[in-house]
This record gives sequence, structure tokens and C-alpha cells, in this order.
Amino acid sequence: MKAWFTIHRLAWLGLVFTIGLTIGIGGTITSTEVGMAYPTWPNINGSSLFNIFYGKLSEAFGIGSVVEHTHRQAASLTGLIMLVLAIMTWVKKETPKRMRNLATVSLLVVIFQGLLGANRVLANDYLVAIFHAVGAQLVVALLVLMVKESATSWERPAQPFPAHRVDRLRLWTTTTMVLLFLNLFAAASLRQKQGAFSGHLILAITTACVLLFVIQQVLTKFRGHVQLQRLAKTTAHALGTQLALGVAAWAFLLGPLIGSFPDEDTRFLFQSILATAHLLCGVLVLALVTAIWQEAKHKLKPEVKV
Amino acid sequence: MATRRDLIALSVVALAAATGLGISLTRPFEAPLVPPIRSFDTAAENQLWDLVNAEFGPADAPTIPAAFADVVRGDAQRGRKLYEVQCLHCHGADGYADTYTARLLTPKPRDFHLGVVKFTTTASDAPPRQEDLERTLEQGLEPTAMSSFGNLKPGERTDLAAYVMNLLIRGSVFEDARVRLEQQAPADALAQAIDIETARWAAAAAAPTDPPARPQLQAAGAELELFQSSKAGCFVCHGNDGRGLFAKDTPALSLLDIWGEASAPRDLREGPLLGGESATDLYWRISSGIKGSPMPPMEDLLSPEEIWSLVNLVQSWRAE
Repeated sequence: MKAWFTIHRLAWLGLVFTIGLTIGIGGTITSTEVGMAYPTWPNINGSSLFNIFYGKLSEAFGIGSVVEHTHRQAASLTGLIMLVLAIMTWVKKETPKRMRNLATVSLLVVIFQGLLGANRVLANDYLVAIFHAVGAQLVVALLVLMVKESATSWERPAQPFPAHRVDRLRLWTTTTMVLLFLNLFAAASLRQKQGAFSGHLILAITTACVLLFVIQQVLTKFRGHVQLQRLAKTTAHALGTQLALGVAAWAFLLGPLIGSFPDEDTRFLFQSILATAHLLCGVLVLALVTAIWQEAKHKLKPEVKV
Repeated sequence: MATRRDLIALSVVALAAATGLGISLTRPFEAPLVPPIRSFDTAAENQLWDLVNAEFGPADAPTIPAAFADVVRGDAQRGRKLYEVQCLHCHGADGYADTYTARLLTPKPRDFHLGVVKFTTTASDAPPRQEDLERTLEQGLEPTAMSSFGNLKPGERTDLAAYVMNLLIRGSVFEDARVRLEQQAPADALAQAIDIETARWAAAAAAPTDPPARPQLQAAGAELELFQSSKAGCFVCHGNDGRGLFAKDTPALSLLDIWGEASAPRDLREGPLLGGESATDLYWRISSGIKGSPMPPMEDLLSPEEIWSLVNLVQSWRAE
């Protein structure tokens, strides 16, 4: 029990750390376009990756380099958390095989993410940057799975519901997950100035429609499932916020309000915050949908009428 | 089991997703930014700016005037599209490098409006040739934020360099004409500036790209003697041992370049040398100086043989 508790806490820590710091700073890098503040990796012109003398760094290479540097440091710590998680699941013999596999895959994905990040910098390649952005969301999804499966509440039995309802929910939650990742790809393409806005728009509308249907299904057809109900309500709020942020991001970054700023400083600051907030809210939506997908897959028992 | 209704809905969703993804993969990003409207102190300067833009096209729809057709290769308009994706966030919508991202970087990205770039293979008073820009694009200027764009196709780098040439030439024509405004009307000042700048840029483009042949090595010690002599004067900034007298810990010793940025002398023994480390790169660096920076040209002070001997010295230090 103690080991599970530690793994659960560590997975939570990894999740919060990954979203709040690694992806938050990573998103800021893309929003402020300082990803190439220095084109070396992992060290900055001979100075260690774990250098915390940010003042000197800023003086030598500019504030942009500090933003990029802290992203690399945060990502390294995410990697460290994943490594500890994986080791813990390997060492504890009673760990379920599925949990061990999840931890191993998560560690491999994080290592691959690091290599993608290196390649993005060293090759100055926008396509790699797009996959690096999508890969970060995959890490989040894997961490959500680990957080939930290591929780004591995961021990509860699956609840029975009519089979056709369960099948339908599983179909559409899986569809939502696929759509979310496709949309993430389109959004990353847009942020890296490689893809047209209309591609992201079409995918965002499609994903939102399907997700609303999923939420409606959960709220009306699975009333007795407390966890699903709670997740659906939170997702509804997150989706509403995300849509509002999306409209604002379009209007102020690409649309009719782009010229409405009094000066360059205000424009830059507002646009950067808006774009990063839209990204982070999107990550939150993905995390919640992953949790719904997992509940639908494992905690619903199809009930066949005789 | 999915119902027929589910399958129909799933087909619609798949079609929409495929359309969105297809657009993302095939349709290019369209930059929303327009070049800022520059405003200058006097009406004559503003009028001159409008005339320059009429001649060279606005920054987002560049044209190469016929007078400069021989010094610019490639498609500047295609180059602008690449610039919007690859360069604009640092170098600015019209090459003034006054973006917020530029402010977050040290050293600052190059401001093209003075018509000067640091690393060229031309004489000290000559503008760059397009090949110089293409080389910088290909090699980058590590460890600055100007990374290599070797991942672009050669034709793309040529187009991108053509657009930067447009920005540089328009900048140097504007600055040249601007100083004539006290005596001349804007149109006359522009016409005269174009004549002069055409000759300058054409001469730079036509000048030989290779430095004079490298002679045999001199006797050991002669290079260091020259480095430390008052004739070359290298030791004044780089120190007797080439480590860069002001390079470490004292960046505030205010050697500034023409863009107003601190420019500390390089440690010649270790660390990267911006603009390349080949013998030819070093020759041009010493001969023509680093344009716009405190590193002066030696072409009038030293013979080609002496410049080569300094190249030998720097290379021997770096090989240690």
C-alpha cells in the first residue's frame, strides 16, 4: 500500500510538473519565439545544463536563453521523475504488469522527447518542433493513466451499464482522443508557422462537437457513475474556457483585433500570455479526456439484457 | 457494437478530420503581420521613405530595382515568404530588428536598415555580396541565436538572401539619401543615392572572392611578434596572449558596435569565432575587419603576407 501511495504521489508530481513547468515554459518559448536563443544542446556554450546562475546567463545570452534553459532543466527533472517511477515499478514485484509497462513506456517517451528537443535545436527544424510539441502531450496522457491507475480508488469494481451505452461511450471517447492528437498536430503546425489556421479551426470545431457529445452522453446516460460525472462536468468547464481562449487567440493573434494594441510591448505580452494560456488549457482538456477514456475503458461493465 | 447512426456520424467526423489535417499539411501559414509604418522626424525624411518604398516595394512585397538586378540573384518575393516564417520574429517585419523577441536575445539580431552586416568577403568599405549572406544562412553564427539554416534547400537560401539583400540595399540607399536631404529634395537625393549605391554594390559583387594566395609559413615567433607589435596593434584588445583583454568579466568596458551593442574582443585561443574558422574566413576578418564592430580592418596597415601570418598564429593557437 505504501509503495502504491508513493507511486501515486510521484505520478501526480510528474503530471503537475510536466504541465505547469515543462510544457508551460515550452509553450512560452514558442509564444515568444526564443527557442533558438542559443543553438547548442544541452549545454549553453560550455555552461552546464544545471547552471542556475540565471542572471549571468541572461547577461551573456539574453532573457530568451534563460527561458529556453529553464525549459531544458524542467524537462530534465520530468525525466528524472519518470526514471524514479519506472525503477519503483520494476523493483516492487507486486506492481501490476500494466502499471510497469506504463511506467516503462512513459520513460521511453520522455527520453525520445528529449532527443526530439535536441534535434529541434541542433537541426533548427520546424517539423521536429511540431512532433516535440505533440510528444509532450503524449507524456501528459501517459502520466494521467499512471495517476489514476495508482490511486486507491482504482481498486473499485467496474459499474454495470447497458452494453450499447458503454460501447457508444468507448467509441466516442476513443474518437475524441484521436481527434485531440490530430488537432494538437494542427495547432503545433500553426504555432510553428508551418500550417494554415483553417486546418486547426476545422479540427478544433470537430473535436469540440464530439467532446460535447461525449459529455452529454456521460451526464445523461451514466448518472450513477460518480467519477465519470465529475470528470465530465470539469471537462465541460475546461472546454468552454478553451473555446473562449481559442476565439480570443484568433482575434488578437491572427484576426481583426491584431492592430488594437497601444504599443509593441503590450501586444507581445498579451499575445504571448494568450497563446500560452490556450495551449495549457488544451493540455488540461487532453488530461481530462484521457481520464474519461480510461474510466470508460476499465470502469464500465457492459450489461447484456437477457 | 457501434450502431448505424454511430457509423454515419463517425464517417462525417473522419471526413472533417481528414480535411482539417489535409489543410494543415498542405496549405502554408499566412503571416498576419504587416510591416510597421515608419515615421521619421521630418516631412522630407518621411517623403524619402515613401519614395524608397516605391522603388524597392513595401517590405512585404519586395521588388529589386533594375539598377540592382546584377547584384541580387533569386526571387525576393519567395524569400519574403520564407523570411516571415524563419526570420521575422527576430529581424522584424521590415528588417529593423525592433521586435520584442529581439530584445530577449543577446547579441541582438542584425538590424538591416544600415545596410551593413558583420561577416563579408569584401573590402572594409564595401557592402556584402549575396554569397556572404547565403554562407551565414548555411553555417549560422554559433553560439548566437542566428542558427544554421542548412536545412533549407540551396534555392530557398538564395531566395531568402535575395530578400535580405533587398532590405540591406533599401536601407543603405535610404541612409545615403537621408544625409543629402539638407541640400537636395527627396527625389533628387534618392536618385543620387541610387547611382552611388548601385556602383558600390556592383563593385562588391564583382570583386574577387578569394583572398591573395597563402604564402609559406614564416619563421616561428614572427607571427606573435607582429601580433604584439604596434603596427598591427592586435594586443590592444585581444591581449598579448590572444585571450581577449576585455573578453572576460568586464563586458561593461563598453566597446560598442554601430548598432549600439556591447562588442567584447574575442578570445582567439578557444571558444567559437563567429563567422567561421577557416583560413579564408580568418583572412577576411583580419583584412576587412568585422564591419560595424570595433574590430578594425588591417588591409591598409598590413600586407597580405602579414595578414596570412596572423591567420597562421590564430590557427596555431586554436590547434593547441
